[in-house]
Amino acid sequence: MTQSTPPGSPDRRYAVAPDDGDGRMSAPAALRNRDEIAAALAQIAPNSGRALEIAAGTGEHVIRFAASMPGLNWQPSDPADDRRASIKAWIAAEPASNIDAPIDLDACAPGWAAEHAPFDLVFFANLLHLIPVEQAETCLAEAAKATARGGILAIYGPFLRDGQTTSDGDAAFHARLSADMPGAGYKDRDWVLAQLIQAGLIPEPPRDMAANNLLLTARRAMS
Amino acid sequence: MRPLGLPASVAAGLLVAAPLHAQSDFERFEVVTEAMNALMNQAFIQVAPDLEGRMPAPEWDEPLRAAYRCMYDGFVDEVGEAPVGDMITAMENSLPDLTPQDMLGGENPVDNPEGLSDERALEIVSDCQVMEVFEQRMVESGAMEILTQQ
Repeated sequence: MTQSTPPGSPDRRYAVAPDDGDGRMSAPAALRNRDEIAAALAQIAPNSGRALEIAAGTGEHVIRFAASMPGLNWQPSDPADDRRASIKAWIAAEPASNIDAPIDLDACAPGWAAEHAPFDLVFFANLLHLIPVEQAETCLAEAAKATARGGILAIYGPFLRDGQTTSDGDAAFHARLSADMPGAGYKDRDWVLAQLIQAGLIPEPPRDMAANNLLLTARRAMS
Repeated sequence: MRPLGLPASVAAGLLVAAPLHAQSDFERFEVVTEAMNALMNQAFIQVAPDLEGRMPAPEWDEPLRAAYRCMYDGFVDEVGEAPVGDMITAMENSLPDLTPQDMLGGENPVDNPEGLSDERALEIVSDCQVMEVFEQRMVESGAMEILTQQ
């Protein structure tokens, strides 16, 4: 389906998610990667506390994450009305006591972290390559700021390594994104980690994930 | 905020010597940011001791000087010299009470210059490639390798 893209939100043309009639959208990429991501997050996530998913999209991730990490109370968010509707529909279809109703949050806008209590886990997937550099900087700075002491920020997606893509397919996708929107395209792994360091987080070794993706994680020291 | 793209930002009195001569605001800015860089280094080494001797020097090198010059000038162009000078004063005043742990806390010890929005400040920081310079220094010092392989 088509939709308008709210200011500051990623261009969703690259994540087609048709509504199957009951409000639940489905993104093939989310279905493919959610089990692997959930397993990786479960290894590093706090046992309890609050978790925020930024740009939660269809809601297929958070449903799985809530089941995999039952000690965390999950707060999905997305700036798009139809995505939040999809998240609600997924929650209705697969109820879980540890998922809150989705909130309208544009993670690429400055200032949102100050308006929300700190989270013990902040996560987003497949966002940075869809937005320009400047928005990515804001998103990373705010996400870091929203990470509580002792908490962890986790970022999943495709990244450049030493400024290079890692496959022909990634190179083609990166080129298409960059051509469609100045500043969009894959961000370099070390560039992302540098943003987190500047925000006072301590990076951990990146995890290799399927399809050349990475899970980048960084923690905020307890005290 | 943690505007300037300054490390966890603005703080750290330990190394700030009392000025012996009149300093320009930009010179004061250099002194205070270098002190904060030193605090940030201490903070990271406390958490990851393998970083000892591998963090970038707190002192400005030429790329960092150019990036901060661009940022400073960008701020002044936006709101004028006085608010930027006030921000630097606030940074200096925050230093004595700051600890390395504060640098990792995520709080913003100093606000933007009056009249400068977060959004515009971030645009200036981005345009001036402050983060790119910081990344390069982390890579060249070996700190990034340690953090990604420890």
